[in-house]
Amino acid sequence: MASPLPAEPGPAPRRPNPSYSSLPELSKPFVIDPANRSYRHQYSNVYFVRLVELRPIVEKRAEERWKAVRGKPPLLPRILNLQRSQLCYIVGTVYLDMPLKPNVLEDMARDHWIVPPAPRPEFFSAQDAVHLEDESGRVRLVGDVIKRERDREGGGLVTGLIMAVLGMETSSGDFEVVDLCFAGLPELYKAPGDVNGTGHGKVKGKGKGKGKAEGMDVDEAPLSGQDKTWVALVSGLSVGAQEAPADLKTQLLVEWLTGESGGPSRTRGSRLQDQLEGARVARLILAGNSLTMPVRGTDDKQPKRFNTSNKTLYPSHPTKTLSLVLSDILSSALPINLIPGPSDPAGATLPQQPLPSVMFGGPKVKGLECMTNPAWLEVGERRSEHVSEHHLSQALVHGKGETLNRDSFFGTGGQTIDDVYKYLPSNARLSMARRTLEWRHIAPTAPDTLWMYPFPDADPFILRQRPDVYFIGNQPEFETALVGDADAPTRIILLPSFAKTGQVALLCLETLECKTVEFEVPTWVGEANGHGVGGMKEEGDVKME
Amino acid sequence: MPPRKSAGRTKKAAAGLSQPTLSFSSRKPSTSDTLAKPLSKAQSRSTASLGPSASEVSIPSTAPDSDVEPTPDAEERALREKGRKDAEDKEKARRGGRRTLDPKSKEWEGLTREAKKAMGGMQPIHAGPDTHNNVHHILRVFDMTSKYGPCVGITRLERWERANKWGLNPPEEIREILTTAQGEDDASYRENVLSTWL
Repeated sequence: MASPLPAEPGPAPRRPNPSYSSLPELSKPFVIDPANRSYRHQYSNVYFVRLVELRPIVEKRAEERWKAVRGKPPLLPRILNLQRSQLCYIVGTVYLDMPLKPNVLEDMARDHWIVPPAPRPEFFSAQDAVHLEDESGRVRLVGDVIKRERDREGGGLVTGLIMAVLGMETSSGDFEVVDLCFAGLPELYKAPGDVNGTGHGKVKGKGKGKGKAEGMDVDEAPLSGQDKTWVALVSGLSVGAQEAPADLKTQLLVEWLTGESGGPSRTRGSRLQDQLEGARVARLILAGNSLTMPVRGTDDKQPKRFNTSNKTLYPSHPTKTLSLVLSDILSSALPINLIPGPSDPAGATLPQQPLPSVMFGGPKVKGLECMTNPAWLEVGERRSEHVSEHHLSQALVHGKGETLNRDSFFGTGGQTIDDVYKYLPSNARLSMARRTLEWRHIAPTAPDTLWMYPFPDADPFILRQRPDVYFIGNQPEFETALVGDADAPTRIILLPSFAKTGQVALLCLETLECKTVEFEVPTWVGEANGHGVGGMKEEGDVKME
Repeated sequence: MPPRKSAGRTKKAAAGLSQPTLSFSSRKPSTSDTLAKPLSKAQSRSTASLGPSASEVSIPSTAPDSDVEPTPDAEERALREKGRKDAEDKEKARRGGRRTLDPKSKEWEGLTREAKKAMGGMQPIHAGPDTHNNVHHILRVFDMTSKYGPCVGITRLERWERANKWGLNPPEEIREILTTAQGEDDASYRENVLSTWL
């Protein structure tokens, strides 16, 4: 005999409503005006702008780093001014000469003779050569330091980043490298009008790498669960895929976000814990791959006879399904930001333009923001700086405004890191994401191997400021870390595909902690013990090594 | 004398070597003579003939109302009227009209010297005395200066504006050259030197 639920203590949970800004001055460079679009510009403009903008920064850092070196090595203004056996340092763009990189001329030559091999997932090899070039010329970099940098875990070089090298020219005309220097982490993004208050707690040196911020003083009592505001980050919803369980996971996610799911909590505390957690989510960010290509059923390929019906095997209207999902979520007052990814119909070149909102119902649908890829946004109302120790592990976080409680987010759909992955021998995608921050450029391999719109006079992927949260979608697994100083951290979040893993990342705006919620759907076939068809498990804060 | 534009053009077109023709802007300049001169010079350049039409290549109108080709006498007159003309030009520019470009003007001498030094005193390739005056030389060196960015694909004025935006300090005189009447109408001034090839 079921007993009625006890009356819910307190008022019904309401969703927090922090302020939101799409940071127009930072997002504007990514928007391409369709009227002025022109593909006839050359990519040399992009490389030139990158060098012009990042070179002064790198020069300054290099000077600080190497001014105490014996021999007082000078900075050469042009690479071609190199003289033999003179210790000096030069700044330029890195170019990796990789024999396994897909080369259109070789492809054409091969097309005539043999079947071309399948495209490789990675194209680094032992025969790669590293060059440094600027407007005047290029020089090949040799030496142990370069080899070590390329091979070390968490290191690596890709084409297109701006680097300073200290060394001297050898007799064969190559440049023997003694030390390298990059642009370094930029400052945190501060909204105009923010007052930069003093950081709480001790500042821990440079904070890059694996340091934990021990000894952070916490000024106030830790925020209780009721007061934290969360932002949910999902990537790879993959609506429209063939597998039915993917849609079931999406439904579970929707139910959790709207507060329809959940029951008596497993932990002590108030009832309907799950519902309360879902209610504290203030915004949902879909970071890429919300749609996939619908798979044609086998029936579609057969010639249609006029007495058979035209029904396809699997009714595939991905955009309709997605707009239903989104409207369900929106109806519970949860605003959504939609960032396109590699499999979304938003264009193949970066920066991908926003999906037209008419696909999801038009301008009358409020709360849905279609954004470019990559995109900046800012969600407000963070309390004063407040990080508890055991949440800080390696996270790369883009900076936040400290005193005015605004968190700036910056995210991509994942193509940038996937492309960097092809150049490096390691699998450490988190360190690749951190390196893009250190290089101050999120997509250095564009336009070499990553398709990019040919901007005639700007390179919008240069990072001038760090955001508080840097999220990257469509990665193989969930990883997170904090980078930066202890009082100005940036959290990097790598989001896995929801269709594959069912994980949703939750980020607390106030404390920058990050946890995941995982939805899983057991397989349909032969479920002997008959437990429920859906499940949810939560993990605490993920400690990354 | 009118240039032998028709003869030159058809001969080259018959040989299959015709170059792209120019589209003249419909904008009316502030004085009538400035239109005649650039048209004639531009057409002669479009045939790229190094022949006798060379005589037209030099200075634009030295006297405001004359349509006569410069002769040695005219040059002396030009020198006398140059001071008056420069003042007129500046006045015109201030009033919003476009000034005419005078390649022999003293304003460009500093740049010409620098340009010649940058080229090491050598003559650029395919630059005969009839198609290439000192202003062309200045602009060509501006194109090839890698400090201001790649020159391909945009006009010289756009490149100048872009270099200015990036803080690279391109010389102000080049902008003045490029915003004169000839600088805007004449493709050999307006487009970079590689524009017909790339």
